[in-house]
Amino acid sequence: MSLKWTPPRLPTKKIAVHENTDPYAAAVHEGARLKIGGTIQARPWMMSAYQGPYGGYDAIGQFMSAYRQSSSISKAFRSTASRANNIMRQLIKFNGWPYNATTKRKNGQIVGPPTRNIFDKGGLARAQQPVRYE
Amino acid sequence: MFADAIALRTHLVTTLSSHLGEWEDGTARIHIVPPTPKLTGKLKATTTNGSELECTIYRLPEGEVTPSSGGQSYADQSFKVELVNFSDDTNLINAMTAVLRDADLVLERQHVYLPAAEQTYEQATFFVYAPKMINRVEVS
Repeated sequence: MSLKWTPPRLPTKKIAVHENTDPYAAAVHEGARLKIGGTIQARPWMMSAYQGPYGGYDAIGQFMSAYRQSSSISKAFRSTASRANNIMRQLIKFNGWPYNATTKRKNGQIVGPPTRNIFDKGGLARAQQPVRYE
Repeated sequence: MFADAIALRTHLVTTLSSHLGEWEDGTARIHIVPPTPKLTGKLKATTTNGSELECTIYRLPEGEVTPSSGGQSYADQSFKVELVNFSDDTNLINAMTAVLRDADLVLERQHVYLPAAEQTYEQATFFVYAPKMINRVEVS
């Protein structure tokens, strides 16, 4: 009796890098303390795409579904990361980020509590880079 | 591992004691939010180490709770810890080194460092991994 098994090939690039190059990206994502007093509350749109609570993305389900269709770990991995990047872009426009202060935005809009999006003039959305694989 | 934010605070007081600023009453400038303390930081010149570093621990951990066997739940959670430097000195960098060298602090993901900018103070955010099993509460 013999058993022959061909294991699926592993991708050569195993890290997906999601990046936002806006100067304020870290302050919005992690929150910051303002010099004039007060706080910028954290709205982690990138982390939330994978871990929630917002975005509703099932990364494991996406990977499984893509692997079933392609039988390629590499394609499934890239499909999962690429979909997550799309969710991140959607979360920038998502109106449900909690924020407990009123702000006059650069676009002239006055946004108040309890929730808002983080789009403003679109700086964050434009600075959201395509996924990079390393 | 840390059962709650209070246990984590107790540990961080030891780790960061030589780097933290002080409140007006002379105690270390470290607190759990909410609620936000009403105390104000002591002026730099009157503290022993000249630090204006403040540590904030978020009381509610981030993470997912999933059902486990035997009626228990597994909380895969992390505490968010913020270090903010209200002064232009090396205290935050030294405190970050102390946190990264502390073998009892397992970080759930890479910390985030925010240099001082025109509008914001220098800041570092850590996510301290603290998973735990939660026993079922019987309701009769």
